[in-house]
Amino acid sequence: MKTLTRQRKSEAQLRQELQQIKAAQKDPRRFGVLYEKYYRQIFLFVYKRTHDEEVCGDIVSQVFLKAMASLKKYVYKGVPFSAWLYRIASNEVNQHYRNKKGERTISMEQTHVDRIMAMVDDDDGDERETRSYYLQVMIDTLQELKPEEVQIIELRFFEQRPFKEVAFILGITENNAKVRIYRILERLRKRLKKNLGGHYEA
Amino acid sequence: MKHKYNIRVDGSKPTDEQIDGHKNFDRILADYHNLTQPIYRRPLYKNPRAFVGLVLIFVIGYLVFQAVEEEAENIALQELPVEIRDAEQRSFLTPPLSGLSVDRAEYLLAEAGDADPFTLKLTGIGELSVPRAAFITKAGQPVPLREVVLRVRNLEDPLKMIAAGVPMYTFEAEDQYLLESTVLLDLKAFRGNEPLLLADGMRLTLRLPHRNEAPDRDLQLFRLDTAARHWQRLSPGYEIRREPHPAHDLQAHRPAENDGFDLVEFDENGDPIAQNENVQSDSLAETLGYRPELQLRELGLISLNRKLRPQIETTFSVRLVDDRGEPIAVYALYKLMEGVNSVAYFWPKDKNLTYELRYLPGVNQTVFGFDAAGHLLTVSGRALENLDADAEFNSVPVERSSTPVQSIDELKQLLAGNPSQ
Repeated sequence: MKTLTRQRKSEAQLRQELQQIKAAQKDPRRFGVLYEKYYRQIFLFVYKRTHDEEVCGDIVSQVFLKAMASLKKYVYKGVPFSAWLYRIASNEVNQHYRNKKGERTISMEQTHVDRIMAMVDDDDGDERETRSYYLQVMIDTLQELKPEEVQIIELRFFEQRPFKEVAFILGITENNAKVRIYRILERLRKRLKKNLGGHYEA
Repeated sequence: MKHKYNIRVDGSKPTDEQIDGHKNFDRILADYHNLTQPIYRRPLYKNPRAFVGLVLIFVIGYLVFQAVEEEAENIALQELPVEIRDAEQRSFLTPPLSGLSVDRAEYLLAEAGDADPFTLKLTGIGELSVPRAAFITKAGQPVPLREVVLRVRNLEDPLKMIAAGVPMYTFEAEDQYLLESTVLLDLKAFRGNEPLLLADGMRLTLRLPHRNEAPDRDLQLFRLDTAARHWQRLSPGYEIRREPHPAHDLQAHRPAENDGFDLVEFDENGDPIAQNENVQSDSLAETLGYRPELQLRELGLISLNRKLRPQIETTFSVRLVDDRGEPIAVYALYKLMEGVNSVAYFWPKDKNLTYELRYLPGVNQTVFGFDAAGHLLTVSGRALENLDADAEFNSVPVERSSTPVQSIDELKQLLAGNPSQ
């Protein structure tokens, strides 16, 4: 089974960020450094879940406003500051869909799908044909998932967040996040076998 | 399959320019300040509109409160029996009974002639010295003495104080003092029926009879301000003059066998009325006594008083009851004290007709009142001696006169026959 890798922050970077946070806690104007640093990635995080530039801009503004308002209560818990912002952003997106009662948007790339399917399927078939089936299986499986399960997939496979951050952002334990991911992958594996079997029979 | 999600694969991403177009930290910072700081950054009282609004709210609230209080007070007053409703206010300079009136003496100054000042003898009071230019009209026009009539009431008797409704108490620093009067007269000047005033800088000098006693330094001159409803102290207002009685040669009373003098008392006309024990010459000044001299700058109710603080009296809650034990409403409850030239007044404070009576057991005091028909209601001394200071109230039976009281003399006779002690 292949594993996901993502660049981690060094100790020095974390320490520097903590100093920036403390400065912002004393003087809200100093929050501008963190705002500049994380605006783009939070914008993209929200955009992938809304796919509407204006809506996304409003939500991101709310995210940073709430972050500023709550910054004095922020305590470092072993995850980067960005995870704290993602948690606020995730809640804001959920709030947006609760208010709007609309269809959630899921953005993914074919490469993400390929990577997930490589984890659950050891068979090698025709590459071009298999990719289209992979995608269909992935879409069908996602449509069956609950929103919180979709969020786990998004964070873990589309955003490539470590389990610790996924758990922090969603407010669950790390073990719980791992168990849920495992179950979703099992469902994907079963559906893949069933669909690919049918395809080969045909 | 039902679609729950709108799934996009390899969808477009916003460009950096698009993302930067939404970036605005200044707006976030402004929103943050609006969110975390109070709406009114300046104190409300520094904002003119808010200040006016607060004042208006306060004034309206106060007026509403006053109106509610007044209404409640009116309702409470309406529940009071007619005898005691506003009794404290009504009794002020108002006789409790129509039959109780104090005679007034009139002095025509037509015979003043050219004398300046003109000296007039006020019967039973003393000598009044009146400057020629003493009186003016309300418009400020001088009035010749020959056109002036002085109307004088001598209210020194406590029963006359009651009849005239003169309050013999005063409040100073929330303490109530009883006023014991040496002189109490109502002095007014008229031209026909037109009331006159004393001109600025003018004063009438009232010389009182000679007193065979040590000068009383506690006496103070008061004038009753009927508009403000309180006694106004006129300081100093009077002088004490030590002098031998002008009508007699003291040497005539000096016994041959020693150097002392007999103490002689004189009446207001200067005639000797008694002879006391022989006294030594070194205390002559004391035995000669003094003559108070009052300097009056205003007309009206004038009194030379000593202030008494009723510290040693005990307060008892008292209800006057009839034969059936029912509480009785009286116009006011009066108390006379033997040897004290004053009268104490008590009014019920609520519809329960309970009086807070100040009383000193063992000392001669007379407590009485009048019912609405004018009957005298006297309280027996035995009942007063058995009062319980700790009781919620003491039911005290009263004796009612057979007929309404018609005059001060009749009142005096009735009280003499029914002393509390």
